Amino acid sequence: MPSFSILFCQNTKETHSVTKKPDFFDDLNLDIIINDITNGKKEYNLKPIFYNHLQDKETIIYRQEILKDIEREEIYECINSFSKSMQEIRKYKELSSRTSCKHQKERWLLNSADIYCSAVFNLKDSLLKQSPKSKGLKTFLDYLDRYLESENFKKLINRTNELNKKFNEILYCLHIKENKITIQRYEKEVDYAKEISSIFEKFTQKEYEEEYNVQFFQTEEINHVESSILKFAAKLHRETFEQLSDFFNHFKNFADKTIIKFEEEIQFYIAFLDYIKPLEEKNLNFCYPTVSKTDKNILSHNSFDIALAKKLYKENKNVVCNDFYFKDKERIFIITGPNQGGKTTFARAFGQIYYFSSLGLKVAGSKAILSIFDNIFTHFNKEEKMDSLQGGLYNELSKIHMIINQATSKSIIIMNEMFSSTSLEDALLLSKKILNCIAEKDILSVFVTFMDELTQLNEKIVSLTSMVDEQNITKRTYKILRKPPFSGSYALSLLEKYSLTYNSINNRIKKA
Amino acid sequence: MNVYLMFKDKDFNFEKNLPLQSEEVAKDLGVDILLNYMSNGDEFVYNVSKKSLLSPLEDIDTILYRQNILKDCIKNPDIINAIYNITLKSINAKNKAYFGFFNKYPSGILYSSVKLMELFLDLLKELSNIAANNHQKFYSAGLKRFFDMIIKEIDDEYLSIIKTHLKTLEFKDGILMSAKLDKNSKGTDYTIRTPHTDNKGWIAKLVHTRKKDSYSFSIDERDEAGTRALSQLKDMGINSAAKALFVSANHILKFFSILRAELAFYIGALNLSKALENIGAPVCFPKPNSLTSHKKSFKNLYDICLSLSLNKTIVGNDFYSKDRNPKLFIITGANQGGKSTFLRSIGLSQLMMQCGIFVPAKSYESNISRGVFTHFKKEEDKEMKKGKLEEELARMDKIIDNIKSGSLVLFNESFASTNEIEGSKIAKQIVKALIDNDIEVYFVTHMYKFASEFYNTNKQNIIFLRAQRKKDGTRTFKIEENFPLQTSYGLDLYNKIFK
Repeated sequence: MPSFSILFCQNTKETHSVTKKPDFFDDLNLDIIINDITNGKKEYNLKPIFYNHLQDKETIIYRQEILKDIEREEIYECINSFSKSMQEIRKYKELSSRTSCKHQKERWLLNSADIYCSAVFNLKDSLLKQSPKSKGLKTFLDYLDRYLESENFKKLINRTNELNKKFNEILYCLHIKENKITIQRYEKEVDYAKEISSIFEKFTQKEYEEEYNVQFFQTEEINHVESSILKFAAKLHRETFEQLSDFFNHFKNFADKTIIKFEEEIQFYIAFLDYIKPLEEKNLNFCYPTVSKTDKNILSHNSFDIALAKKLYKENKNVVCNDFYFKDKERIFIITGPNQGGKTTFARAFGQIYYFSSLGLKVAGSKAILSIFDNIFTHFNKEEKMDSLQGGLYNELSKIHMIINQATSKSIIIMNEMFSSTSLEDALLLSKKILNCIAEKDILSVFVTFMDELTQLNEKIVSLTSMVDEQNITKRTYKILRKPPFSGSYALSLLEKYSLTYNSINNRIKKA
Repeated sequence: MNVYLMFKDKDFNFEKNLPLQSEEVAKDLGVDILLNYMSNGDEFVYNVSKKSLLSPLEDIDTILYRQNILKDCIKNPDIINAIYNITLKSINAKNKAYFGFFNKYPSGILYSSVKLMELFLDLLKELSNIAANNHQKFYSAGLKRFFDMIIKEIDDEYLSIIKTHLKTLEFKDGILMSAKLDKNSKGTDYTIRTPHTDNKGWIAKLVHTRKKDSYSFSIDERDEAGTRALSQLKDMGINSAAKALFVSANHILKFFSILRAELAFYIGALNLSKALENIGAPVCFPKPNSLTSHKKSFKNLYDICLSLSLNKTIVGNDFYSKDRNPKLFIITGANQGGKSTFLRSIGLSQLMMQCGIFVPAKSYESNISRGVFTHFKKEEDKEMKKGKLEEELARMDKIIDNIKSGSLVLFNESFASTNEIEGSKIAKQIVKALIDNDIEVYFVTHMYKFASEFYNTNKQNIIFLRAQRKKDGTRTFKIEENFPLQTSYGLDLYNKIFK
């Protein structure tokens, strides 16, 4: 198999063209999310994978299927434990290349070969037991199967086991008196500590464990005393150490390249699952979106801004979810409503859902039907100080102009409070013009604005409003709904309040 | 070797948290005064007594087990004090040996463990002497077992074996250890070994004669790194021996500390017994009945704290349930007539009985309770009335969170912070729910409406008690069975104070 990849199916082209963070990442909080996702996996270069979104349905589905497999705890564990082994192998490899002690260098290679053999074997065994459904993992399993049957692998595993067994059996004695060390054979001398313990056994107090916490500071490196001891111990066990040298010369590069690549790429899925798991446990939904190349009747149920949800999760606060859909000619959301009411959050959530769907991953929400896009453009008004009003407006307009020029009918545009730093009259006029351009190009877009008038502009526009509590209009509910803009007793009740009525006490008391 | 003086098959767990609400109960019942007399200024005894008093036992066997041990103690206080002193010495010995705290190195740990063991050796000897000379004076199952165990386990032969090993652990002939190779080709699993001896018992000089298969090298004194490595190697070698001795020493120490703590409980009871004896106040060992029996009777049950504080005997109360199986006691009557005092004596006696000691009465018989709860009017709360009622309900809410069938609740003028009609409604619902769930309730109240509603039900298992007063208005401080009266005697008090 020339180049198997768990990220791209075999007959499509692998895309790695984007190497730095896309422009819209910051606006949509995607930078925060991707940093968080990849944070625990720094030894793998995962960020570029997250920078390149897919535009072909086949690869999206290829990845979705793999993710579904890995979502199963058993399969996740297979891969996770394999990765842990690979990390150990890398550590030993590094150690082996650094040391000057021959016995150590050779032994470390044996260790990593040992870990590798059982790791690959376990991976195949445990994966097979779980019978993955995805094309990706099935193909990989086939590969593993053939690899494990190969002569090379069999030779490796046999020699490794044989040698390891011999090393584990080595037992020698040291006698230390003053500054003299003698290395000699072990001749069945009894364990003196056990003898001590048995004498005092009668004093053992049940359910009482004494903490004895002596820790020796030990490095992997060997000091000259240890190395002399090792040299003499090697003389006592000459044959075993000679076989180790042979092994070292034979199996310097034992690891298979396709397997190494698999282990690196699969981290893309693992990292993502690790990230969303605590949120899912908080009963926030993530789902596999249905993607379409042409249909713009999209919808999403119970979506949310993942970055915000993560923050609220840490503060132990609740997340408010929202729904949205476009049908028929609808293409543009215009969101109005009070400040701090969740409008920007909604816009970000919209962008995030689109982006994650294009990575072949799950998206926030209980259900999602989305379209495949070619690019996302965002314009978020950052309250930065501008040298002059005109300069600011000029810059803003040029940026928007560029966006509209580059965007196609397959693009997504998300704009937050555009023209908020200019006069209302100007802002209205400019916004209307821009909205008409976007409507004409049939681009899916989201606008957050304070200008209620915009919601009436054309038939592609859907008006959304961030809602407040009906009883208390100062209280935000963070719900965004399809609506036009907003225009403007004693003793026994106390018992009830404290659940102390006859009936509630009856229910509360623990029966004997 | 187990102490087992609090339970016949387990140690008393002094680390265990007290039941919730314990502090509240302790405050309401005035437990602190009692504990001061029990501890006689010894903070340790204070804490042990508090723990045991506030963690009521629920099985009769253990209560009787402790009662019997306490009876033995009362007869032989000097011997109990002598053993208690040995346990105190063990704690001192530990402090002297700077045990455990400063040492990170096995060689240091081993050294201080040996020193500590030498001190323990003397204490064990002392303990076994006391046991040998006095065991026939004890009749309780708990102390008999304890002394028999000491005599059997700690004899002279055993003590001399320990001595020999403490000598060996100085390692005058060097250290022999076995090792394996770890994944880094370094020594691991260092295990200290007993060298082979020849027929005469000499440690073989084989180390020097066995040339063919042994290799030796020495570390130059000036080689600092080498010397460090060597001493670490030694430490790793003796580590398992150091650990074994350290752990053993700690278990002996633990044995002494358990003994100290369990004896402290009896020392506390001894102190209390002596204080009451000085006053001439009577005590008796109560008869605990099963959870389901509601038989109750007492004679001259008095408020022990009041008696101790006044340093004199005081009037007690009598009651006999006959076959009425009382579940609810409603106590009414004159202010300052001894109602709260009575309520406290009920709570304290129950706690004292259920920790296994005597109670302040001429005789006492009662069922076991699954936890004692108190809900007392808070005098100090000078908040708005509404807030106060809510505070009372919030406290009640917490009690309900933790109460079980078979518990005991003492109410003292609860829910009186609103008007009588509302207060009675609240009290009635709560009390009815409690007794219907087999919870025993004592309720001191001025709310006539509340009391009379229960009175009118004519139920046999509801007992009405009343603080007495004579015809001339003076109080007897006696609580007797009597139906609730509509008027309270606040006027009396007023007249007395404003005369």
